[in-house]
Amino acid sequence: MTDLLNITGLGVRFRALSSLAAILQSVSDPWLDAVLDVSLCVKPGETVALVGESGSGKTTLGRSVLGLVRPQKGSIRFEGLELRGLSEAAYKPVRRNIAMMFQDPVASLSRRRSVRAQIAEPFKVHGVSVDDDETARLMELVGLNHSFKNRFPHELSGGQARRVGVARALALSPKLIIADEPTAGLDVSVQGEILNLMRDLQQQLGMSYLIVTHNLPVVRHISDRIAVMYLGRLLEQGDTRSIFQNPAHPYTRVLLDAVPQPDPAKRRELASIEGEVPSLRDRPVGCEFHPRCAFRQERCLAESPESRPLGDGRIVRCHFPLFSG
Amino acid sequence: MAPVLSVKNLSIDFLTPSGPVHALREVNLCVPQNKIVGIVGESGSGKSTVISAVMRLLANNAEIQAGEIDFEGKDILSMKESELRELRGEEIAMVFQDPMTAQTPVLSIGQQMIDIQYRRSLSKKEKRQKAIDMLARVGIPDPSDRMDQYPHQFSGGMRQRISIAMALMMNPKLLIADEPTTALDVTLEAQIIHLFRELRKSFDGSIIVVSHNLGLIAELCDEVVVMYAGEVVERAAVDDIFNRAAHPYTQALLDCDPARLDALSQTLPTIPGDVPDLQDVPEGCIFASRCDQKLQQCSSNRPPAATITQAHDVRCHLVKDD
Repeated sequence: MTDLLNITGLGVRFRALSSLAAILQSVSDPWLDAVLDVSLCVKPGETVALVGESGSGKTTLGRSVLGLVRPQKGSIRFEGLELRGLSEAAYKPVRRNIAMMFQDPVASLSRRRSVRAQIAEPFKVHGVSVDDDETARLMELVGLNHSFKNRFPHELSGGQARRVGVARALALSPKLIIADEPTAGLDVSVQGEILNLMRDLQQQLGMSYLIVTHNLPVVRHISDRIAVMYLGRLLEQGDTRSIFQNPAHPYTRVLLDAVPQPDPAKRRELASIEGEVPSLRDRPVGCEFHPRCAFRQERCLAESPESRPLGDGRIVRCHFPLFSG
Repeated sequence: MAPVLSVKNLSIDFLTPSGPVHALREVNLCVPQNKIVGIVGESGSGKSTVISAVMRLLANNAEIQAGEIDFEGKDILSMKESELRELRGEEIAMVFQDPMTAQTPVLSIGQQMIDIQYRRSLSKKEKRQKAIDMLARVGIPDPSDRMDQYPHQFSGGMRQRISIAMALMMNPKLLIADEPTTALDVTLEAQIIHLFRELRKSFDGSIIVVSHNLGLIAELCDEVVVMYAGEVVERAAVDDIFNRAAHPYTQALLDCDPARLDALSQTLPTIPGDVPDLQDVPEGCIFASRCDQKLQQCSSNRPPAATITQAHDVRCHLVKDD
């Protein structure tokens, strides 16, 4: 099957210092690489989860697909169309097919508009006529009672605001929805409702999801494939089931082991990892994960590993993967 | 041994223009010496109201309807403001959820840690040394160099360690940690859990951990209090809660946690229905409207707290007193 979204060699950098400040502080490179050499694809009807710690670049990657951040390197193809370098006017029709669910469900809604107006907004932006029947249909689709149509965001609970966000994302029947932490701040009982809703809609409408999250227990149940990011690079990507069974990159294993288990019989004596994510200003030499890696060898200190495929179709950036496929 | 803290029949209303919200109703809980007690519940369950009441930091529109809070034989609810000042920080300390806003940004970490010791009659040099020792204990590398740095120069994980150091500075008898790992990444969460376990070996006091994260509760706590819509529905030892939960809400909450689902399922379990409106608390059991094992009496009679074993209380009609 052809890819819906195909990202190759993507690089996004942010300017950290003005050129004058860079000269005064004698910094030769005033740029920070937020996303470095990332290649990733999403097939039609598929759910891909982008996981990693804060500062790993996963949100930046999601935003760059929508053109909210402009990448400097690589390519983003959506249905064969190159998105990098597209003008703002040329991007607009693309955004009919790629929708975003933002991280904070309440803050991403306008405080001055009713639920009905929020849901009608995407239609207006794209010059599509919309009537009350259409907004009512969308509200029904996401399980919001019709009586909510005149409510304002402050009158909604977190779960209800999230449903409005889903309805807005669905409004123009996009082919891809980028969901940034779709369950952040929700209680476990509500989290299940939202994820089940997203899955039901996918089965009905067939769109793809790119889910940005750090919630690994959820990822295991809802995604087809996982991509693990660290310091802007993809360290491992592959089929969800095989990654959870046999993580190949030591960092993936650390992430999986770090999740606290809701079973007092499985208490751990040691934290699975020491230290913290290094600063982007100060990327370690060699493999960027080596300062925190329990399996590092001499080669890791000097030489940066390339991405390579394993037997089971996984792609890993490690000299000594824990699993060879 | 007498418990460090015991809350008895605590009921609190919040007065609002549209009428009182019955935020806590007949809450009982007990924190024994040297134990870690977890308070778990979803948003709106009243877990933060309980700890605010213990610290006497309730909002101005809160009205205590009934109950007692006994801390080491003293009644917190009848204390004067001056007595409360001696209690807070000194005997009961708190670690907050968001490490990024827990410290003042305009003073160095060292200055803040020296300031906390204002009640101690030590020289400034001794206070500084105590602060350095405390930072070392919570795993801050090069503590004497980092004393003069400001909060923005530390990462989130380091700041949470500093918050814990500050809370333990005065050797409190009770430490309250409100969602201590919610704002942290999973690798840092594992490190903070490990730190709490290590500190526990040397810190002789009790800890209350408030969280909605069942993983954190299972990793850390000895006893667990489960709250729902302003009531304690079940309290028991951690093994009993996770393996022999008696209240249907506790069981539903455990079932909803995706980390506890072994089989890969495309449909995640949920708890259908909504939390009841606390301005108009339903008669009968508070969970009845969402309970899948509801009996006829559940909608009309409020279940009493039944005792299964000595340390296992449940407020449910399905459970009969032993």
